[in-house]
Amino acid sequence: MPSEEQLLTRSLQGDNEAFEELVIKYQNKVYTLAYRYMGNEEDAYDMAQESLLKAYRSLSTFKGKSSFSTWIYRITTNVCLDELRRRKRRIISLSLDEPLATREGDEVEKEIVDSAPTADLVYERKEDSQYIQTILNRLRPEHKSILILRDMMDFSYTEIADILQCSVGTVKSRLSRARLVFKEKLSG
Amino acid sequence: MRCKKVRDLISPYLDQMTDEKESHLIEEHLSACLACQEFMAQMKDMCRNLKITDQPLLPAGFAEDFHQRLQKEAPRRAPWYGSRSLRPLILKNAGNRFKEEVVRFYHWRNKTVE
Repeated sequence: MPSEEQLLTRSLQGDNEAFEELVIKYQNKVYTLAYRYMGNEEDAYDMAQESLLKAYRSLSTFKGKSSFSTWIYRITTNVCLDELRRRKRRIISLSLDEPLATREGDEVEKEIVDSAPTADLVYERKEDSQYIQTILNRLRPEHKSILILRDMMDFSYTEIADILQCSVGTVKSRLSRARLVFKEKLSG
Repeated sequence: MRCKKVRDLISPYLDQMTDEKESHLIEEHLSACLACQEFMAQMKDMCRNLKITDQPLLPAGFAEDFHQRLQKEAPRRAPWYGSRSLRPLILKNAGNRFKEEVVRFYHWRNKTVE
Protein backbone atom coordinates (compact mmCIF):
# COMPACT_ATOMS: atom_id res chain seq x y z
CA MET A 1 0.00 0.00 0.00
CA PRO A 2 1.50 3.38 -0.98
CA SER A 3 2.44 5.77 1.81
CA GLU A 4 0.85 9.21 2.19
CA GLU A 5 4.07 10.81 0.92
CA GLN A 6 4.04 8.65 -2.21
CA LEU A 7 0.39 9.48 -2.83
CA LEU A 8 1.17 13.18 -2.43
CA THR A 9 4.08 12.98 -4.85
CA ARG A 10 1.96 11.18 -7.42
CA SER A 11 -0.91 13.64 -6.92
CA LEU A 12 1.47 16.52 -7.56
CA GLN A 13 2.55 14.88 -10.78
CA GLY A 14 -1.07 14.94 -11.95
CA ASP A 15 -2.18 11.46 -10.85
CA ASN A 16 -5.83 11.99 -9.88
CA GLU A 17 -6.26 8.42 -8.68
CA ALA A 18 -3.58 9.01 -6.06
CA PHE A 19 -5.38 12.13 -4.88
CA GLU A 20 -8.66 10.21 -4.68
CA GLU A 21 -6.94 7.63 -2.48
CA LEU A 22 -5.93 10.46 -0.15
CA VAL A 23 -9.49 11.76 -0.18
CA ILE A 24 -10.90 8.37 0.83
CA LYS A 25 -8.62 8.43 3.85
CA TYR A 26 -9.90 11.80 5.09
CA GLN A 27 -13.41 12.17 3.65
CA ASN A 28 -15.23 10.99 6.80
CA LYS A 29 -13.58 13.52 9.07
CA VAL A 30 -13.85 16.30 6.50
CA TYR A 31 -17.59 15.62 6.18
CA THR A 32 -18.10 15.47 9.97
CA LEU A 33 -16.21 18.76 10.38
CA ALA A 34 -18.32 20.41 7.68
CA TYR A 35 -21.48 19.03 9.31
CA ARG A 36 -20.54 20.58 12.66
CA TYR A 37 -20.09 23.98 11.03
CA MET A 38 -23.10 23.92 8.73
CA GLY A 39 -25.57 22.01 10.92
CA ASN A 40 -27.27 20.00 8.17
CA GLU A 41 -26.39 17.15 5.82
CA GLU A 42 -27.00 18.92 2.54
CA ASP A 43 -24.74 21.89 3.26
CA ALA A 44 -22.14 19.63 4.88
CA TYR A 45 -22.02 17.53 1.71
CA ASP A 46 -21.50 20.55 -0.52
CA MET A 47 -18.90 22.13 1.75
CA ALA A 48 -16.97 18.85 2.12
CA GLN A 49 -16.88 18.38 -1.66
CA GLU A 50 -15.88 22.02 -2.15
CA SER A 51 -13.11 21.73 0.47
CA LEU A 52 -11.63 18.65 -1.18
CA LEU A 53 -11.72 20.28 -4.61
CA LYS A 54 -10.04 23.35 -3.16
CA ALA A 55 -7.35 21.12 -1.68
CA TYR A 56 -6.85 19.54 -5.11
CA ARG A 57 -6.59 22.94 -6.80
CA SER A 58 -4.08 24.28 -4.30
CA LEU A 59 -2.06 21.12 -3.76
CA SER A 60 1.07 22.71 -5.20
CA THR A 61 0.99 25.30 -2.40
CA PHE A 62 1.13 22.60 0.31
CA LYS A 63 4.41 23.34 2.06
CA GLY A 64 4.52 20.32 4.35
CA LYS A 65 5.01 22.52 7.43
CA SER A 66 2.01 20.80 8.99
CA SER A 67 0.66 17.35 8.26
CA PHE A 68 -1.52 16.83 5.20
CA SER A 69 -4.52 16.06 7.44
CA THR A 70 -4.12 19.34 9.34
CA TRP A 71 -3.83 21.19 6.03
CA ILE A 72 -7.03 19.63 4.69
CA TYR A 73 -8.96 20.33 7.93
CA ARG A 74 -7.74 23.95 7.76
CA ILE A 75 -9.13 24.25 4.25
CA THR A 76 -12.46 22.74 5.38
CA THR A 77 -12.67 25.13 8.33
CA ASN A 78 -11.97 28.13 6.09
CA VAL A 79 -14.42 27.04 3.37
CA CYS A 80 -17.22 26.59 5.95
CA LEU A 81 -16.49 29.85 7.78
CA ASP A 82 -16.38 31.77 4.46
CA GLU A 83 -19.74 30.32 3.46
CA LEU A 84 -21.29 31.16 6.84
CA ARG A 85 -19.92 34.72 6.62
CA ARG A 86 -21.28 35.06 3.09
CA ARG A 87 -24.74 33.94 4.21
CA LYS A 88 -24.70 36.28 7.19
CA ARG A 89 -23.82 39.23 4.95
CA ARG A 90 -26.66 38.31 2.61
CA ILE A 91 -29.18 38.22 5.46
CA ILE A 92 -27.99 41.55 6.86
CA SER A 93 -28.15 43.17 3.44
CA LEU A 94 -31.90 42.46 3.24
CA SER A 95 -33.67 45.51 4.60
CA LEU A 96 -35.94 44.51 7.44
CA ASP A 97 -38.09 47.63 7.10
CA GLU A 98 -38.78 47.23 3.41
CA PRO A 99 -42.39 46.02 2.89
CA LEU A 100 -42.94 42.70 1.12
CA ALA A 101 -44.93 42.66 -2.13
CA THR A 102 -47.52 39.88 -2.41
CA ARG A 103 -48.45 38.12 -5.67
CA GLU A 104 -51.59 40.23 -5.88
CA GLY A 105 -49.48 43.35 -5.81
CA ASP A 106 -50.35 44.34 -2.23
CA GLU A 107 -47.68 45.28 0.23
CA VAL A 108 -47.39 43.76 3.68
CA GLU A 109 -45.11 44.61 6.57
CA LYS A 110 -42.48 42.03 7.48
CA GLU A 111 -42.95 40.37 10.83
CA ILE A 112 -39.77 39.43 12.62
CA VAL A 113 -40.23 36.16 14.47
CA ASP A 114 -38.19 35.62 17.61
CA SER A 115 -36.72 32.16 17.12
CA ALA A 116 -35.25 32.02 20.62
CA PRO A 117 -36.67 29.02 22.50
CA THR A 118 -38.82 29.57 25.56
CA ALA A 119 -37.42 28.82 29.01
CA ASP A 120 -39.34 25.51 29.25
CA LEU A 121 -38.02 24.37 25.91
CA VAL A 122 -34.49 25.28 26.93
CA TYR A 123 -34.79 23.02 29.96
CA GLU A 124 -36.29 20.12 28.01
CA ARG A 125 -33.86 20.27 25.12
CA LYS A 126 -30.61 20.86 26.94
CA GLU A 127 -29.13 17.54 25.89
CA ASP A 128 -30.69 17.48 22.47
CA SER A 129 -28.05 17.62 19.77
CA GLN A 130 -30.18 19.82 17.54
CA TYR A 131 -30.45 22.32 20.36
CA ILE A 132 -26.69 22.20 20.90
CA GLN A 133 -26.26 22.97 17.20
CA THR A 134 -28.69 25.91 17.49
CA ILE A 135 -26.70 27.43 20.32
CA LEU A 136 -23.46 26.77 18.49
CA ASN A 137 -24.79 28.69 15.51
CA ARG A 138 -25.33 31.74 17.70
CA LEU A 139 -21.72 31.95 18.79
CA ARG A 140 -19.04 34.10 17.22
CA PRO A 141 -17.14 32.19 14.50
CA GLU A 142 -13.93 31.92 16.53
CA HIS A 143 -15.80 30.49 19.53
CA LYS A 144 -17.79 28.13 17.36
CA SER A 145 -14.62 26.92 15.63
CA ILE A 146 -12.74 26.17 18.79
CA LEU A 147 -15.64 24.27 20.41
CA ILE A 148 -16.16 22.19 17.26
CA LEU A 149 -12.48 21.34 16.93
CA ARG A 150 -11.86 20.55 20.60
CA ASP A 151 -15.09 19.31 22.14
CA MET A 152 -16.79 17.76 19.15
CA MET A 153 -13.92 16.60 16.94
CA ASP A 154 -11.48 15.86 19.78
CA PHE A 155 -8.40 17.50 18.24
CA SER A 156 -5.49 18.24 20.59
CA TYR A 157 -4.52 21.82 21.46
CA THR A 158 -1.46 21.54 19.18
CA GLU A 159 -3.54 20.27 16.25
CA ILE A 160 -6.06 23.08 16.76
CA ALA A 161 -3.23 25.63 16.83
CA ASP A 162 -2.01 24.21 13.50
CA ILE A 163 -5.47 24.21 11.93
CA LEU A 164 -6.31 27.75 13.06
CA GLN A 165 -2.73 28.98 12.61
CA CYS A 166 -2.44 30.46 16.09
CA SER A 167 -0.47 29.67 19.24
CA VAL A 168 -1.37 26.99 21.79
CA GLY A 169 -1.77 29.83 24.32
CA THR A 170 -4.42 31.43 22.09
CA VAL A 171 -6.20 28.08 21.79
CA LYS A 172 -6.20 27.77 25.57
CA SER A 173 -7.63 31.22 26.26
CA ARG A 174 -10.09 31.19 23.34
CA LEU A 175 -11.42 27.77 24.32
CA SER A 176 -11.85 28.85 27.92
CA ARG A 177 -13.84 31.92 26.82
CA ALA A 178 -15.89 29.94 24.27
CA ARG A 179 -16.87 27.32 26.86
CA LEU A 180 -17.97 30.05 29.27
CA VAL A 181 -20.08 31.76 26.61
CA PHE A 182 -21.59 28.44 25.52
CA LYS A 183 -22.38 27.51 29.13
CA GLU A 184 -24.10 30.87 29.68
CA LYS A 185 -26.21 30.47 26.55
CA LEU A 186 -27.07 26.89 27.51
CA SER A 187 -28.35 28.06 30.89
CA GLY A 188 -30.61 30.45 29.01
CA MET B 1 -6.48 31.79 44.27
CA ARG B 2 -9.79 33.61 43.79
CA CYS B 3 -12.95 32.12 42.28
CA LYS B 4 -12.68 34.17 39.06
CA LYS B 5 -9.11 33.07 38.40
CA VAL B 6 -10.03 29.44 39.13
CA ARG B 7 -13.00 29.56 36.75
CA ASP B 8 -10.79 30.97 34.00
CA LEU B 9 -8.49 27.98 34.45
CA ILE B 10 -11.15 25.26 34.77
CA SER B 11 -11.29 24.77 30.99
CA PRO B 12 -7.55 23.97 30.52
CA TYR B 13 -7.59 22.08 33.83
CA LEU B 14 -10.24 19.69 32.48
CA ASP B 15 -8.01 19.07 29.45
CA GLN B 16 -4.89 18.56 31.63
CA MET B 17 -3.39 21.68 30.09
CA THR B 18 -2.55 23.50 33.32
CA ASP B 19 0.93 23.26 34.79
CA GLU B 20 1.65 21.52 38.07
CA LYS B 21 1.55 24.72 40.12
CA GLU B 22 -1.75 25.87 38.62
CA SER B 23 -3.31 22.43 39.06
CA HIS B 24 -2.27 22.38 42.71
CA LEU B 25 -3.76 25.84 43.37
CA ILE B 26 -7.01 24.92 41.58
CA GLU B 27 -7.36 21.69 43.55
CA GLU B 28 -6.65 23.51 46.79
CA HIS B 29 -9.35 26.08 45.99
CA LEU B 30 -11.87 23.46 44.85
CA SER B 31 -11.51 21.48 48.05
CA ALA B 32 -12.83 24.47 49.97
CA CYS B 33 -15.25 26.14 47.49
CA LEU B 34 -18.60 24.47 46.79
CA ALA B 35 -19.62 27.07 44.18
CA CYS B 36 -16.52 26.39 42.08
CA GLN B 37 -16.99 22.63 42.49
CA GLU B 38 -20.49 23.06 41.08
CA PHE B 39 -19.13 25.26 38.28
CA MET B 40 -16.58 22.61 37.31
CA ALA B 41 -19.20 19.84 37.37
CA GLN B 42 -21.42 21.87 35.01
CA MET B 43 -18.52 22.61 32.69
CA LYS B 44 -17.54 18.93 32.61
CA ASP B 45 -21.13 17.95 31.87
CA MET B 46 -21.37 20.49 29.06
CA CYS B 47 -18.16 19.25 27.39
CA ARG B 48 -19.43 15.66 27.66
CA ASN B 49 -22.72 16.65 25.99
CA LEU B 50 -20.85 18.34 23.15
CA LYS B 51 -18.75 15.18 22.65
CA ILE B 52 -21.67 12.79 22.43
CA THR B 53 -23.64 14.85 19.92
CA ASP B 54 -24.84 12.50 17.17
CA GLN B 55 -22.21 11.47 14.64
CA PRO B 56 -23.22 12.13 11.03
CA LEU B 57 -22.66 9.32 8.54
CA LEU B 58 -20.97 10.05 5.25
CA PRO B 59 -23.69 9.84 2.56
CA ALA B 60 -23.32 6.95 0.11
CA GLY B 61 -21.71 7.89 -3.19
CA PHE B 62 -19.62 10.70 -1.75
CA ALA B 63 -16.35 9.40 -3.24
CA GLU B 64 -18.00 8.67 -6.61
CA ASP B 65 -19.43 12.17 -6.71
CA PHE B 66 -16.00 13.62 -5.94
CA HIS B 67 -14.53 11.49 -8.72
CA GLN B 68 -17.04 13.01 -11.18
CA ARG B 69 -16.23 16.55 -10.03
CA LEU B 70 -12.53 15.87 -10.36
CA GLN B 71 -13.01 14.77 -13.98
CA LYS B 72 -14.51 18.18 -14.75
CA GLU B 73 -11.52 20.02 -13.29
CA ALA B 74 -8.94 21.40 -15.69
CA PRO B 75 -5.70 19.40 -15.41
CA ARG B 76 -3.70 20.94 -12.62
CA ARG B 77 -0.53 22.60 -13.87
CA ALA B 78 1.79 22.03 -10.96
CA PRO B 79 5.38 23.13 -11.39
CA TRP B 80 7.48 20.16 -12.55
CA TYR B 81 9.45 20.22 -9.30
CA GLY B 82 6.27 20.20 -7.11
CA SER B 83 5.89 21.93 -3.79
CA ARG B 84 8.98 22.90 -1.86
CA SER B 85 8.46 20.21 0.79
CA LEU B 86 8.22 17.39 -1.71
CA ARG B 87 10.91 18.72 -4.04
CA PRO B 88 13.77 16.59 -2.60
CA LEU B 89 11.71 13.43 -3.05
CA ILE B 90 10.75 14.26 -6.62
CA LEU B 91 14.29 15.34 -7.54
CA LYS B 92 15.66 12.14 -5.96
CA ASN B 93 13.29 10.03 -8.05
CA ALA B 94 14.18 12.01 -11.18
CA GLY B 95 17.91 11.68 -10.37
CA ASN B 96 17.66 7.91 -9.95
CA ARG B 97 15.82 7.61 -13.24
CA PHE B 98 18.49 9.70 -14.99
CA LYS B 99 21.27 7.49 -13.57
CA GLU B 100 19.46 4.38 -14.83
CA GLU B 101 19.20 5.88 -18.31
CA VAL B 102 22.94 6.79 -18.34
CA VAL B 103 23.88 3.22 -17.34
CA ARG B 104 21.58 1.81 -20.03
CA PHE B 105 23.11 4.12 -22.64
CA TYR B 106 26.65 3.14 -21.53
CA HIS B 107 25.88 -0.59 -21.90
CA TRP B 108 24.19 -0.02 -25.27
CA ARG B 109 27.20 1.96 -26.59
CA ASN B 110 29.70 -0.70 -25.41
CA LYS B 111 27.62 -3.38 -27.10
CA THR B 112 27.54 -1.36 -30.34
CA VAL B 113 31.31 -0.73 -30.29
CA GLU B 114 32.01 -4.45 -29.79
